Amino acid sequence: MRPAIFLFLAIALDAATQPADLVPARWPSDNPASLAILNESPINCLLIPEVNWSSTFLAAAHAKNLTVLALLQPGTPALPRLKRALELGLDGAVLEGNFPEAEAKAVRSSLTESSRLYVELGLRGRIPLDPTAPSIIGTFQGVWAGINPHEDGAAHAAPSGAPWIDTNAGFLRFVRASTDRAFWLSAAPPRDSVVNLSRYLQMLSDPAMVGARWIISFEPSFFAKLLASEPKAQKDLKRINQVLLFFEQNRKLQSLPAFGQLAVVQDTQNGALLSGSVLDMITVKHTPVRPVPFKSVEFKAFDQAKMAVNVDPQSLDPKQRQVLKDFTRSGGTVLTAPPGWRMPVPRPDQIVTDAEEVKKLDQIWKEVNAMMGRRNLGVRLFNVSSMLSNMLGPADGSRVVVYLVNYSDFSVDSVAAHLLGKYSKITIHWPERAPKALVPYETEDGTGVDIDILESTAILIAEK
Amino acid sequence: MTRRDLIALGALPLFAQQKKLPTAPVSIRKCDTYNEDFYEIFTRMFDDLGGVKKLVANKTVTIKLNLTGSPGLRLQGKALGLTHYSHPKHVLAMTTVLDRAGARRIRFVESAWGTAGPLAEYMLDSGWNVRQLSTAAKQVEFLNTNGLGGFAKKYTRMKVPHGGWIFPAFEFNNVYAETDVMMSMAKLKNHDVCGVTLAMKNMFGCTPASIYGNDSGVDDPNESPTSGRDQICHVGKRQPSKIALPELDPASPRDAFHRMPRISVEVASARPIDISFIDGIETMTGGEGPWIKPKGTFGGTAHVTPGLLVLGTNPVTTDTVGTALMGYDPRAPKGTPPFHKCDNMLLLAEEAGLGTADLKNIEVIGGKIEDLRFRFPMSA
Repeated sequence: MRPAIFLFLAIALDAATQPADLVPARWPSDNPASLAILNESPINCLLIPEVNWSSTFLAAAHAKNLTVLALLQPGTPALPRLKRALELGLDGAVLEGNFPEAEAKAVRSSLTESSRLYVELGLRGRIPLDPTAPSIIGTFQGVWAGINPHEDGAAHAAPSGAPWIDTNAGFLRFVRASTDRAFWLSAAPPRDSVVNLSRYLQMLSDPAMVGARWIISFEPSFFAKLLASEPKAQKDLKRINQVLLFFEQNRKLQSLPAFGQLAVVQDTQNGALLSGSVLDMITVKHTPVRPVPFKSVEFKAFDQAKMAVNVDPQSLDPKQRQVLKDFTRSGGTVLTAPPGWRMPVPRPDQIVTDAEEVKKLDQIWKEVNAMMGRRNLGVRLFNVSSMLSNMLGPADGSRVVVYLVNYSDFSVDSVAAHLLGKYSKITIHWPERAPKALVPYETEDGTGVDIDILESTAILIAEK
Repeated sequence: MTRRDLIALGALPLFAQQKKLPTAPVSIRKCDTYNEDFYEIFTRMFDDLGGVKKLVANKTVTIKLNLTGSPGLRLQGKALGLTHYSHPKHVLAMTTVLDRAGARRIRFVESAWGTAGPLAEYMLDSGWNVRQLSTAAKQVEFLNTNGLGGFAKKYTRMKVPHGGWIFPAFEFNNVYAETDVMMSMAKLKNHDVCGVTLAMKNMFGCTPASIYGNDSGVDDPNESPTSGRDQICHVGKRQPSKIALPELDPASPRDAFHRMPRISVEVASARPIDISFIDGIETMTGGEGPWIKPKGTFGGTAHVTPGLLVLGTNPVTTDTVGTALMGYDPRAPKGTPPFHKCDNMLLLAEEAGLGTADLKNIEVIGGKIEDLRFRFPMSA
C-alpha cells in the first residue's frame, strides 16, 4: 500500500473526526500492543467492551488519533457503566442491543450533555429515521452477507436458479433514501461457519456499496493470529484494509442519489427494513431501484422513473395516491398490489420476511418480474449471478456510478454491463488495481462495457 | 463376441440384429488445456473424417450448444465451460473452421434454462464474449429455441423415423427444420439419469419448454416458459401442449431411468445429427451439472481434467467412443455402470438404427482409446 495514500488518509481522518468519517471496528483487547494491527488500516474508531476498558489502552489509542467508544450491551443498568466510561475518558458510547427506550434516552442525553458521541444499534424496526436521529444510526440486527449454507449444509440454490445472496443492501437502500445519517451495521457470522478472507470482504462490501459501514469484527482466532503477527493473517488483513480503504476513498460517490427507472414505494410498516423483502428481490435481479419512503412520495421523487411498485397502497394517504396517479398520467407504469392486500406489520425485532410475508410478496413478485422483463432500467448486468450492485447518479443521468460486489469466493470473469443511454467515458475503479478506462461499445439500449475480471468489488463510473 | 454382447443383442428387436448398422470414423485427440490452437486442432480432426468443406460448404449449420442449467449455478465457482457447459473457446474456433470451410450461415441454438429471452443474453450471463463470436463468421445467429423466440413463425413437427418408444414425433422451433447441417457440441459428462450425456443426449435440449416444459400450456404453447421439462419428459406426469403429438402409451412406465434414454434417442433421430463434437478437456463427473446432489446416481460430483476431444459424423459411433474414453463399456446392459440405473442409450440408438455402438465396427483415428482413457466414477 502506498505511503502517500496513508498520509492522505491519516490527515483526512485526523482533521475530520466527524462522525460520518468514523470507520468502526469491534476491539477485543485492552493490550496497547494490539493497536499495531491498525498501523496500515483505515479503521479509526474502536468499540471496546466494558471488560477491556483501560486508561493505558485509551491513551495509546488516542495517541494514534483513534476514536474510542464504550460498547454497552443490555445487562446491568447502563448509566453507571456509562459514567465509568466517561470518567476513563472514552469518546462516547455505543448501545448495542435492545435497550429499554427510557434507558437509551438517558444515555443519549448524558452523552449529548458531555459532547460525546452516541450511537444506538437497536432493533431494525426501531431505527430512528427522523430528523432528530443522532449523527450515527444503526442496528445490531444485520445479516451475515454472502451465499450462506442452509442448516443441512446445502447452498442456497434452487436446481434451476442462481444462488440466493443474503444481503443487507435492500433495507439499507431504504435507510439511505430516508436519512442522511451515517449508518453502522453489526452482524455476526453464522454459527460454526468458517470466516475466511472472502467472507470478510463480502461482509464489509455489502453495506459499503450502499453507503453504510459494517462494524468490523474479527473472529477471535483470526484476531489472535494478528496479535501473533502470523504472516497469513497479516496478508489477509492487508487485503481487508485494501478493500476498506477503497470504499473510504470513494465515499464521496455515496452522496449521489439512487439512480434507475424503477421506484419502489415502501416504508417501515410494510417491510422496507426487512431483509428478503421487495427491495432485496429486485436487488438480486440486478435491477437498479430507487426506494421512495412514504414521506418522499412527491411528484419529483419519480423524476427519472418509468415504473413504480406500490407495495402497500392501503397505507398511502389521498395526496400520495394522487401523486402516483399523476405519475401514471405522465406515462409511468405503476404496479399496485390488489385491493385489500396488506403487508403484515413487521415486529420491531424482525429481521427477515416471514412465511406469511413471503407468500404475500410472491403474489406481486411475479407481476413485478414480468413488468421489468428484459427492460433496461438504468443498467443491465450479465454474468453476475454471484454479485449484487448499486447504481447512483444525478437525475439528469450525466454521470452514473455502479457499485459491484462479488459474493463468491472466486473471481468472476467476463462481466458485461449495458448502460441505458450513451456514455463516452467509462472507468472502472477497483481495490486491487489502478483505475482503468474501459472501451465502450454500442448496445441496443445505449452503451456496453466488458469487465475482464472482478475480484472483490469494483465501481464503474460512466460519463456522457 | 462377449457374453454381455450376446445378452445386449438379445434385447434388441430382430430388425436391428439383421440390419447392418451405420458406422463412421471417430477422431480423438489428447489435449490438456484450453490454451491451444483449436482452429488447427479441429481442422485436423475434420481431416481425419474426410474434411470439413464437403460437410458444410454453402450450408446452414446449426450448432446445438450445451448450456444446461442456469448460468448462475457453478461447480466450485469455476467458469461454466470448465465443468458442464460448452467451452466458448471451442465454439469460437469451431465457428472459424466452419466459416472458412464455406458455411453460409452458422446458427447457435439452445433451449436456455427457464427463459425464452435472447440466447445472446443468456450467453452473456454465462460469461461469453458474444460480440467476438458474432463476428467470427459471415453470418452468425443466436437463437433460443425454448419457444418461437420472436424469430420463428412456427413450430415444425419432426417424426421419429422408427416410430419411437415414448413420443412418435416432436414439435421443434422451425430453425431445426431450416438446418442443412446439424452439429451437437457436447461435453464429456456423466448424467444422473442417463448415465452419460454426450452428443445425442445434448439434443434433448432442442425440445421447446413452451410445449414440453412444466409450465407449458395444456392446449397452446407457453411462449414465456420458466421451468424445466421433468414433469412431461422425465416422469410423464402430464402430456405436452396439444400442438404436439402425445405419448404413444400413457400407461408405459413413468420412470425417468426408462423414459429419458428413450426420449433422448428419439430426439436425436427426429432431428438427426450430422456432426458430433465432445469436449472432455475439463469437465465434471457424477452428473450433468452442479445441481446434482451428493446422493446422486454416481455418489457425488467433481471437476476433472481428462484432456480429451472427440469428433465424429455419426452420433452413435461418436458417443460410443466417448463412453469408452470415460472408462465404461459402451455396450453395458442396464445394471452395469454407467447404466446401472437406466437403460443404455447407445443400445437404444442401435435399436433405432442410428448407428453402431460396437467399438469393433468403429474406426478410431488420432489415438488409441486404451491410451487416452480417463476413468469416470464407477468405471471398471
